[in-house]
Amino acid sequence: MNDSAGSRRMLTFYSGGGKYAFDIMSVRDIIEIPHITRIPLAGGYIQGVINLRGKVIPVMDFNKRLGLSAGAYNEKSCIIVVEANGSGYGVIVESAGDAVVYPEERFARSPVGDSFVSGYVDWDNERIQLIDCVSLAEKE
Amino acid sequence: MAKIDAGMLPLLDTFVFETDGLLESLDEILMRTEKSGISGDDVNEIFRIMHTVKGSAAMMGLSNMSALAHAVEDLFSVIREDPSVSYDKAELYELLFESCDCLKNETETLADEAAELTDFSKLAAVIRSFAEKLKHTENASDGGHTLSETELFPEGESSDIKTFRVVYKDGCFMPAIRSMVLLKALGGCARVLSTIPDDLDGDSAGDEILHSGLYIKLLTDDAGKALDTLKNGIDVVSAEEVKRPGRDDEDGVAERSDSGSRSSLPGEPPAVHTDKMGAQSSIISVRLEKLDRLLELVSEIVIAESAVTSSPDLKKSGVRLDRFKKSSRELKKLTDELQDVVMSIRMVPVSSVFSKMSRIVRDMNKKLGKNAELVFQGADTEVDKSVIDILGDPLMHIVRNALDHGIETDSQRKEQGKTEPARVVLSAGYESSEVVIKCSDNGSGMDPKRLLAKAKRNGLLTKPESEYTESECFDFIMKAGFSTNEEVTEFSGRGVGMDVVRRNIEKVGGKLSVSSEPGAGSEFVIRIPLSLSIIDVLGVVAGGEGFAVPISSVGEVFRARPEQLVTDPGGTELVMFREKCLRVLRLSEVFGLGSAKQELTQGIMLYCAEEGREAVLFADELTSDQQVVVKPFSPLLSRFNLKEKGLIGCSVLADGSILFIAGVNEIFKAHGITPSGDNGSEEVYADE
Repeated sequence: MNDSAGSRRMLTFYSGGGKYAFDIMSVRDIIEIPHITRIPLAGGYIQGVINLRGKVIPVMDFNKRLGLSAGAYNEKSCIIVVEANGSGYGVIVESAGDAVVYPEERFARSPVGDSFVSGYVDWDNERIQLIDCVSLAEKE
Repeated sequence: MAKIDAGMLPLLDTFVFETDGLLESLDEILMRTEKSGISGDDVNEIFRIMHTVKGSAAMMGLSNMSALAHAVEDLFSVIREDPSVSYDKAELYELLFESCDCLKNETETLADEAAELTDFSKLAAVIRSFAEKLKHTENASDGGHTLSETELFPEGESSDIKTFRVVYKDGCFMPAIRSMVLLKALGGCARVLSTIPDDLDGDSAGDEILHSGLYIKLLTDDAGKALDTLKNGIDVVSAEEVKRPGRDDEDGVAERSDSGSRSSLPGEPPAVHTDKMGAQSSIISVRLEKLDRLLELVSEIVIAESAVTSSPDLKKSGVRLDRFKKSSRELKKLTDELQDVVMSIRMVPVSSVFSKMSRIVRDMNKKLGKNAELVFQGADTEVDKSVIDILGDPLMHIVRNALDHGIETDSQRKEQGKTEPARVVLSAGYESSEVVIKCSDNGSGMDPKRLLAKAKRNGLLTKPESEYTESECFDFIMKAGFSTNEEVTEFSGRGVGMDVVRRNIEKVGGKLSVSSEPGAGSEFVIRIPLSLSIIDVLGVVAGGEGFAVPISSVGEVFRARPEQLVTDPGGTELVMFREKCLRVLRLSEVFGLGSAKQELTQGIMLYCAEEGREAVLFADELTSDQQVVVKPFSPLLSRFNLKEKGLIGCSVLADGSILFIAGVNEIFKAHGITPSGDNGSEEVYADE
């Protein structure tokens, strides 16, 4: 949803002591953490699968995926459902923030090609790291 | 160069779909009318179909298809103008079938950019010249039945009036004069009302009489005497009474009578026609994806409904819920019905596949000089659309095989003293949760001994010859590299075929079996689960978690006695079962669930066999058997190779929880269980 020429919208969240964001175009849903069914044979950052209105989607732990300190999950924690290449997956984060509209020129693309972070936005005296949904899902 | 203008591409799907549908109904009309004769409605329908195909092909810029359809349309406009025109029916149908096939093939290859547009100009030219010939015969009639009933029998003519047709000898001198003499001779016993041609003095009367004969309408008390008089006329070859349509027998005249006077009464449209219109307007075509989405939504509603009606909050509230319960029962009834209806939308009668077979049988009868009839039973049996799509190719192979290998030619049948006509029967029906499709023929059948001998030659034996049972011998024909027909024909005999058919059917959880009696015929039976995505599973618990094992893979469930258990020096656990020594695979270890090792005698043993591999799976306990809808894992999990490791998918249960489904074959492969003997019941014989 590009609001007007040159502005973008993102959904911010907090996890592992940092502030991150997804581009709002790739966010499908924000839900409470339901019962997660562990998948045998799939370990690491994949927590399991959940039943999202009849669809079975995988869920990952954001902190484990980024190699951050183990998450302090509480009642504010939630799952942000995002979409990559046509399939949805859930990301457990410590807490969700707001939808923020920012001017495009505030976005600084990261020169690291193969990274979870596609770039940075300095906003409200904070540095927000914009997460790339596709590499979050697929990067080895 | 692109075949289709980029602007037209979005319409391609619709075009292909609609044209296929039209050609399908054309095929069906042709099949139906080839033997029985074509009615005026059919002619109109074919004309209409070709007109539509021509128009839409032209719109898509497919000039080749449009030209061919145009030629056929023109041909039919000739037949439509004058239904009584005489033509070589066999030739006409050959042309029509060929055009229909050409158009069908073309629509199939349209999406393929690499394939060029086919040039149909030759075929179109043949059709045009055929149409020219028709027009020609129309003008200069051939002395046969050239007068249509409407001309011969005007509306409201009294039935007392008798009509006679007199044919004069070819090259007869002055037939018009002779006709006048003849009419005078009739004067004694009949009153002549009119003749065709009516003006015997006219210039063309002589030629007309020579071509189509002389028609005489008269009133008489003694038709026999009148006929005799006519027959005795000079140079008369034949004289006969022409009966009014409606009373005549089922010969060539009857074919034409439909389109003639009877059905064209104003204000009384033929019933068949209105029925057809009704059927057309009450059917709409919907993309399958939309139906799938609908089905998904309905199952979500069912789950959401049970979440609402059995919500724990209701119990906590402590309020009486009588009315709530009543309403929720009502809701449940409705959602159940909704689910049934949505499931039934995807159901299609097998007749759509069956009717394609009649075309194959017709073509093969022609080419092979055989005379087999195709009989359908239970063609209205309904199965899921996805099953129909899978059935087409295997069934075609089987029917072709039946005609090619099974059915004998008429003379061969006579030699063997077979009196009943050669017959291929296709039948469909339900048995428990399966659709059963049978194809049986009363042809030559198969000799198990010959099959065995051939299998031996081809090196397919995996155990001593004497140990093969009859049914195992028949199974050979479904093995790769086996074909009973010595020579390769256009239709079959390449030795690929039945094995591919079997594999395709097995891929979707179906089974193919064969039985046969030498000299009496063969029967092929296909069994396919009613719905492909729904499978029967056994619920088990392993390492504290629930799994489902497809019942189709499980041969037997048992508890092991201590004396059955063996441990290999290397630590591999084995079990003696049915005089075989089998590996025991603990599901908890297969799925990497570290838990305290359970005693093998305490848990449940599942004897499983898949594609010749066999072993015993060990689970802590058995929970239930149920039907589940299999959902594949998200592609985002593909890097974990879950399938290769033994998890083929998951399923959402009615309470919303998720169950994982174990793939027995995948587990076997992942744990190095190799196929023993090809049929899976013997120790490795051929390899060692």
